[in-house]
Order: sequence, then C-alpha cells, then structure tokens
Amino acid sequence: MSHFWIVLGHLQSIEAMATSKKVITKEEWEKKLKDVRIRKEDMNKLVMNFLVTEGYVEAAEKFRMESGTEPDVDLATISDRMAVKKAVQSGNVQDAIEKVNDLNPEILDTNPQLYFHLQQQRLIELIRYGKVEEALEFAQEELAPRGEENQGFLEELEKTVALLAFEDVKNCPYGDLLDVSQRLKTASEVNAAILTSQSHEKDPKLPSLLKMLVWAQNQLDEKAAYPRINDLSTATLEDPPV
Amino acid sequence: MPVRVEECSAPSQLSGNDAFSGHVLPPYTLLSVGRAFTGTQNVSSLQKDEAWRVNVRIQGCDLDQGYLCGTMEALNVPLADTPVVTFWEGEIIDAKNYTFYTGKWEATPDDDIKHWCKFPSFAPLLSQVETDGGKSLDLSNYPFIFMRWKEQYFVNVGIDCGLTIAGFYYVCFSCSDGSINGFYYDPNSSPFQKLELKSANEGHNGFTFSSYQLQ
Amino acid sequence: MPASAVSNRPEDVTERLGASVAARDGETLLKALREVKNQIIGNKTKKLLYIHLGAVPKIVAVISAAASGNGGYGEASVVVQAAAAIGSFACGVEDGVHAVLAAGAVPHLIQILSYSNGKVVNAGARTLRIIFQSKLAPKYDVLQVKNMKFLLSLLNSHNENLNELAARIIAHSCDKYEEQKVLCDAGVLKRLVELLDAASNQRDAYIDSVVAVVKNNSEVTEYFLSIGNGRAWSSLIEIMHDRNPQTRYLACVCLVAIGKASCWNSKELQTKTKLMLVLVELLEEPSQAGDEASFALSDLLADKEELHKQAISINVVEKLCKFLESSLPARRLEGILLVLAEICSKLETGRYLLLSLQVLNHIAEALKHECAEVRIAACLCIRNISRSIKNLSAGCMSNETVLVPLVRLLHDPSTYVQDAALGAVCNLAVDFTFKKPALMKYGGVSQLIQLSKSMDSTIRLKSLWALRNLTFVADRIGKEFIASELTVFALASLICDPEFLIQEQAMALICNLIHGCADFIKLVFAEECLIMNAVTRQLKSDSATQVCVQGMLLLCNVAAGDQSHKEAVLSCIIPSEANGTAVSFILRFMRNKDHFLRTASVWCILNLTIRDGANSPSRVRRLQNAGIVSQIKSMVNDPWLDCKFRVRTVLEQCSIVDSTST
Repeated sequence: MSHFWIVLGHLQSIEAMATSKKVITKEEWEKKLKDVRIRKEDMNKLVMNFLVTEGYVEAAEKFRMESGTEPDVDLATISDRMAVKKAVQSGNVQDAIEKVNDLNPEILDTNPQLYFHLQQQRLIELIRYGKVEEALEFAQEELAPRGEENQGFLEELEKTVALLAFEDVKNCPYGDLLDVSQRLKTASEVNAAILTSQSHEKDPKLPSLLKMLVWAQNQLDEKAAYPRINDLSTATLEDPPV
Repeated sequence: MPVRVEECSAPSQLSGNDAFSGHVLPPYTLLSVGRAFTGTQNVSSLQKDEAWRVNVRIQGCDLDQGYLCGTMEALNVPLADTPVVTFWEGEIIDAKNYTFYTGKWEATPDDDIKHWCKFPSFAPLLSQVETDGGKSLDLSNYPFIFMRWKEQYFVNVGIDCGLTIAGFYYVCFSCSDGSINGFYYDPNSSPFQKLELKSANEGHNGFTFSSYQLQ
Repeated sequence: MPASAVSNRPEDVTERLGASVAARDGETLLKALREVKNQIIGNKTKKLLYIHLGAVPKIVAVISAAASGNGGYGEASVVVQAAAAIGSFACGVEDGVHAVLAAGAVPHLIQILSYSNGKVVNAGARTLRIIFQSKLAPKYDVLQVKNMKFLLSLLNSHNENLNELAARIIAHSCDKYEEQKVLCDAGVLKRLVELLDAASNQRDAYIDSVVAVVKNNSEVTEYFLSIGNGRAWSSLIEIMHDRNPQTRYLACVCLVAIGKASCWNSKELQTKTKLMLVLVELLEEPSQAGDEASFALSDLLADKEELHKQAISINVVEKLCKFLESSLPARRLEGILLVLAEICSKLETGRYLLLSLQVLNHIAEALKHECAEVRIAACLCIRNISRSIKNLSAGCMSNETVLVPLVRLLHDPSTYVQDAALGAVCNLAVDFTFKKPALMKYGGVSQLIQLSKSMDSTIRLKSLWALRNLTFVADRIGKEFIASELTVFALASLICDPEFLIQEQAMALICNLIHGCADFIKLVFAEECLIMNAVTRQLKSDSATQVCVQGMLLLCNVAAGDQSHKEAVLSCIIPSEANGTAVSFILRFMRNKDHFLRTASVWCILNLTIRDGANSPSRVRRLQNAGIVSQIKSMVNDPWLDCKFRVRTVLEQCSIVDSTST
C-alpha cells in the first residue's frame, strides 16, 4: 500500500512540473551567479591538480612560482611517474616495471591486474618485433601462471597469443592489441596506480566538474528555461528560449 | 509483531543458565498455544435467525507484546461448500501495548465503548476508561482479558469466497472457565454478531496441553 | 647488453646471491638482489620458486650483516634492494611470510630503521609493515617497556612510513584489555588522532589501530571520545565520506566499534543512519571493502530493534535484495544474508518486506552454495523469516524450494551447517497448514530422528526440538510416523538424557503427541511403562524446574485419559504404603515458589478429580488421604491468578469448597 502512494505522489509532482516550466532570465541568472563566491586559491588548486595529475611538471613548476599554489605531491615524483609512463608508451615495458618497483615495490605486488597488463604488453612488444620463440617462452613462463590464477587473465592471454597465429597480424581479429592505443591504455593504467599509491586522485578534478555541469544542466532542462552554457570552451551564457 | 524467540547456538550454552525457562506455560493456561475453543457465531439479521458453528485454535502467543494469533473455522456457512478458515491476530488490551480505544479499522471511541459495554465484566472498568482511556488500570490481575481479533487472510479459500474479513472482533476471555465471548464489528455488516466459545477438550477426559518453541 | 651474458634463471640468480655475499662483491650482489626483486614482484610462482631455492635466508643475511655493521657491502642501495625483496616475499604469499619469519628477518629489519639514510629506513618500514599485516606475524608485546618506547618513537617520528608501521604493529598486536589500557595511557590514541587529520594513504592503518585499541573497551573509548573535545569522532565522521572505499569502510568499522563500546548515545540515530547508508553504498564496490561492508552493517544492527526499524525505513532491505539477483562472491553473499537475517530477527515488518520482495528463491539457492558460511547465513535468514507465526500459518515457507535443500543440509558434513539448518527446520516444523507431511516427504523427519541420537548434545537438542515442534497440533499420521520411528526406547532414554534441556524437549514432544489424540497415552505405558517410569524418576530426583513443569504437564495430559490412566498417574504421585514416609514430589511442587510448577501440578490434580464415573470419588479420597487436597485448599488465594482459578475448580470438583474462603 505504501508503495502505491509514493508512486502516485511522484506522478503528481511530475505532472505539476510539466505544466509549469519556470523561465529564468539572463539578468536574474547572472545576479545569482555573482552571489556565489569562489576563492581564487580554490581555482588555482584546481588548475594545479590538473597539471600534477596529468604530469605537466614544468607547467606545474611555473604555475607554482606564478600563483604561489603548492602542489600536493613532491614534483620530483611526477618526473619518476612520467618516466614510467614514457617507458610503456615507447614499448620498454621491462624498464617500466623496474622503475615502478624502484618507486614503490608494493604497487605491482598488490595490483595483479596491472601487473598482468604490463606483462601482456611485454608479450605484445615481443610479437610486434617478430620474436616468436621468445614470445612463446615468455607467455608460457610468465603469463600462463597468471592465467591459472584468474579466468579473465586467461582469456586476455589467449587473445594475445592468437596474434602469433596470423602471418599478417593486421588481419587478426585482435590486431588492435598491436595498436599504439594499447600502449597508451597500459601507460595510463600504470599512471593511475602510481597516483593512487601516492594518495593522489587518479583523475584530475576539472573534467569531472565539467561533466557535473553538463549533467546539472540536463536535469535543469526538464524543470526550467535558463541561460545555458552550450560551448564549454567559451562558457558563454546563452539567452533562454522563450 | 515481534515473536518471542529462544536463542541457542553455542554448545557451551547448552547446560546452565535459564535462557529457556518460563515459556512452557503462559500466564493463562487456557489461552496457551494449541488450545481449542468451539461454539457459535450468531449472524442473525432482521430476516432470519442464523448461527455458524465456529472452531478457534490458538497458534501463537506473546503476552509481553500483547500479541495472540490463531485460526477461526466457520463450519456451516451458507453458500460455502467447505468450512472457511481464517487466520487472525489479536491485540490484548493490557494498557501497555494496546488500550480499549481501537483507533483504526473504522472504529470510533463511541463504537468501542458501545461494544465493550456489551460485556458485563467491562462495567467496573467503564468510568476509568472514560476518564483516561483505561491507561491507569492494572489489568494484570483482572479475571477477564479483553482483546481485539482481526482476521488477516483466508487460509483455505480465496477472497472470492463471498465472505468479508473487513471487520474485527471485540473479545472477552474469562480466565476462570476459559470461555470466550465476542462481537463482530464491521460498519458494512450486520451489527453485534455474537461469538460464543467454550474451551474444548477434544475427546480427552480432562485438559491437555501442547506447545512449541521458535528459535 | 652485457646483462644478456649472465643467466637470469632463478637457480643461477640464487647461486650468484650466495657467491657474491661470500666474495664481498657488492656490485654483483646489488644486481642479483634487484633481479630477484624484479622477478618476484607480482609473481607468486617466482616467489615460491625462490623460496624453494633457499633465497630468503641469503637475502636476510645481507640485512643482518648490514645491521650488525660488518660486511663491506653494507651500502645503502644493497640494503634497500634486500629489504624490498623480503617485503615482496611476504606480500600475498603465506609461505613467503613463513620463510621471512623463519629466517629471522624481523629483528634485523627493526635495526635498520635507525639508519640515517632515509631510503633504507623507508624500505625497512615498508617491509615490516607488510609482515605485520599478515596474521602469521608474531604479536609485538606492547606490555614490555622497551617495546612500548620503540613503538612510541616510531609513532612520533616525522616519517609517515614509520608512523604507519607503528599503527600496523598496534593493529596486529593489541587485543587484550590491559594492552589497550597501556597503549592508551602511553598517549598512543592522542597521537593517532593527530595523524588521522593528515590526509594520506597511511590513514587506513591509523584507523585500524584505533579500532584495535578501543574495541570492546568502554574506558579507553570514553577517553578517545574526549580527545580534543570529540575531535576524533568528527574526524571519523568526515572520513566516512572519503573518496577511497577502503578508507570509508574502515571509518565505518571504527565508528561502529566506538559506538558499541560507548553504548551509543541515543541521540546518535542520525550518525547510525549515515553509517548504514555509507555501508550499503559500499556494497557497490567490487573491492574488499565491498565484501566486508555488510559484516560491519550486521555488526551495527546486531540486536538493535530500533535500528532494524530505521534500516527498513531507509530501504536497506530493498537495496540488499537487489544484490541477491546477481551472482555474488561467497563472502559478499554471506554478509548480505547475515544483514537480512538480522533485520528479520525481531521485526515482523522486516520479515514481511523480505517475503514481499520475492527473494526467497535466492535465499533457498544459497542453501546449496558450495561455501559453508554462505549455507549457514542462508539458514539463519530462513530461520528468522520463519519466526513469524503469521508467515508459518500462511505456509509461505513450506515449499519444495526451501525444504528440499534445507533437508539436504541436515546431512551436511559440517556440524555448524547442520546446527544452523536445524534452527531453520525447528521453526518451519511449526507449520499450521496441514502441510507437515512436506518435511516428511523429503526425508527430513527420518534424518531428524537420526540426529536425535547424535553424540553432539547441541545437535541432539535441536533435532529433538524440531521433532517436538513438528508434533505440535499435527495430524494422526504424522504423529504415528514420528512415534514409531523414534521408538519408546529412544524417547525414554532422551527423558533421561544428561542435558536437562533435552529432557524437557522429550517430555514436551510426548505431550504434543497426546494432545488431541488420546490414544497416544498408551505410548507412555508401552514396554512395561518405560516412559512413565522415566518421567517419574526425573520428577522424584531434583531435576531442573523447567523439566519438572514439563513433566507435570505430561502427567496432566496422561491424567486426561481413561480411568486406568488416571489410576496410573495417581499411583505415581502418591507414594505407596511401603515408603509412606517420603513426601510426594507433587506436594513439594505445589509449595514451590515457581508459579508455573504450582499451576501445572494443580492442572494434573484437576484432571484427576474430574467427575467422570464411579471411580472419581475414590480418587478424591486417596488424594485427601495423601494430604494433597488439604495442600490445594491452602492455595485458594494463590497469588498467581491462573493457579488460583484452577485450585477453585479442583475444590469444586472435590465438593468441599469452603464457603467462607473467597
């Protein structure tokens, strides 16, 4: 019985909303916006957060000097992190693994999925350079035991090894494993893991704030006509449709 | 309604403490689980005199919560090919969990008083009930127990059996002889249908008792 | 690359480790250590292989040599690599922890913490922390003054890694009241509260150690809450919304532990509601926090009716039931079932809600789960749902889906599962729908009878209990089946069981058999009065009160039989001429302070004095001669209302009501 009443109440309020959509003019909107105070330091922190997370060391250093905003991690660790990322992006996976282990030996020990993806990337690189025997041996010795521990890994491993069966790997259904995008994917996974191990968020805050803005506008669209931001790069307020 | 349960898990608790004691008998043995009652419900209307034979069995009892439940079987119901069995839950008027005022089921305080007054054993309580709803009464030693029985569902027939369980019974149980009197109340049914039940011994030469305990 | 010239097979690397230590070849040693480390990190197979090859003691030797200051290769980078390798061995592999502990690594690692080189200190701290996160690690005795001093130095250090290590050691080692007290007095909690405020990965360790120090200790908890005017509490409330799910989970666990130890301020309903919401939300997490959240939730709800109400009102049941629809890891499923069981333990609304959400099938499915803990949790769930007489009367639970797997669990190899299944069967056995044969149909009754002969007294009790419930208002066929399968011999021996709870159940079972089926009385006299004699023996010896009450009810039921049954009860309660000096047990019972025992005894006499034929006057006379009637007369104003009314009926039946007494 109580369910019924809630649904009914809900429907009524939706109906009520549909009939009266509020219109908010640009003037009212801007006046309201002015009432919201955002501290300059907070804005700076957002920018610094973006630069640090994305690994722009030099920009972060310059921004620190210009704005006086202190980054929440040691900038030196950004260089280490970027070095790892770069190593993966350029296919030196073993080098990347050793660098991660020097940085913090616990990262790969406590993150089996990341460890598997790095080893898989190593295998992909061996296949890319036609080192068939070495690839097979590596798959057998290093990756097969991981597959035994985890069904998901086993499936991924099978797909990767399937690359060896094709003379022209570009025609292999899993050919995109050889694509640069695969390296980038693995690199960003390592990047995120290192950030997490440094008590840092793995994603910058700015993009999620923008996503939230879009979501909020969509929600609001159902209830009111108001000055919308349609172009995020300029952030101009458009006049509400009457 | 919370039902009293007995916890027993660790073997170490098996012997020792009295966690299980005291529940073999309720304070009123004739209202204990398993006890049966038989009698009639008078369903007379202006047109004709009629009565159903009625059997009641107590299935659950938790006096701390003022709770009682059981089944009611109506035997010679016109238009029904089988006896009709319903499950009911009872509220015991103990001034703690429930008072004489129903406050629901379409019963006004006026209806309440009108029905309770049909029981002679209620007369000594009337003035106090009118003053404060009977909240200050100590009913624990009163030789009668007042209850409301509300049928919850049909056990053996569908809701299309032609009977309604929309109403409820005002009930009075006599602790001395175990008899039960009641009046059915439903604004949409004929008023003051009288229920008269006697404690039944089911073929025994005396009173027998049975029991269960939930875990 | 020159590296390709050297083999990196684990056998060869291990060999090189040993050789370079002996040759004091620092450069080769460093390379070998790095190689081991990089091979084993993340690779369980390699860890086991190196352990097997005996690499661990060799690496520990490197640290011990460095720690004792001799050995020319004691340079920092070698020690760092060695410590990291040891840490990896101890990470995620029990054999590794064993090997590291067996090689005596802990004291050496502790020694290198005092190095001036920060990298060495951090590597040592990290490795020790990993070791102390394992259950296998030895307890660190905080009651020793020097240990406590050392722990405080770690905790007060400016190095986060050392702070975290101290917290891990405390979380691992503190579980006794006096340890909690000593740590608290040493200022550990105060420091932990400071550390909690710093946002960091280390925070999880700090929360863990707070839990260890305050758990079940109201005194220490009071103090903890007073630090900085309740600052700790509000910090934890804030941390409960941390972005890291594990941290949120730990904060919840900590708040629950504090709440329990300080007996929750009743005004805290809002916090408890928040806790519930956060914990339910955590169930969405695929990580360990998501697995464990439900256990913290059931801990929070345990035995708290008002919280069950609150949980129902914020839709916890609906949310949990949603999870049941998908396939869940065992631990998670167990936790969710435990919470549902808890919410159904006291409130009828909870049970009703759970049934209306149609998840009974999923719960019944969990009865078949391969993991014993899940099966137990499902049993608890079913037991608690069936605490509702309304549900039992409607027969909602007595269907094949539930009964078949449940009966199978009565054969479970684990006694714990059997025990839990018996709990559920006990309640389901109280079935009013005339579907009782259902349980019989699936072989449940025969198995219950088997279990009633178990050596395990709990199993014996619970199976008998289920049979007793099964015989409650059962039909004749069911009763006959149970009586003949169980046998008079078994019943008599259960009446004489060493456990009085079992004696009571056995007698209650026989009462149920007789109630409504008078001809079952003959059972009591079968095999030369085996049961009657057993009951009499229990009543005459100083049995527990509840056994006596049940025994008197049994005699009362027998006394509701024919003339010969009444005669037999009479000779049981009145001592024969031969030992006439002994006071009849029924006189003792009627003078007992237990009103139930008095009432049950009077009921028995009431049945004996019913005027039902030529023999009743002679029975009354014998009762008079034995002093029983005068005893009853003296009870005419018994303080227990029910007893008083029965006394009056007896006196009426004896036609000797004293008109002067009211």
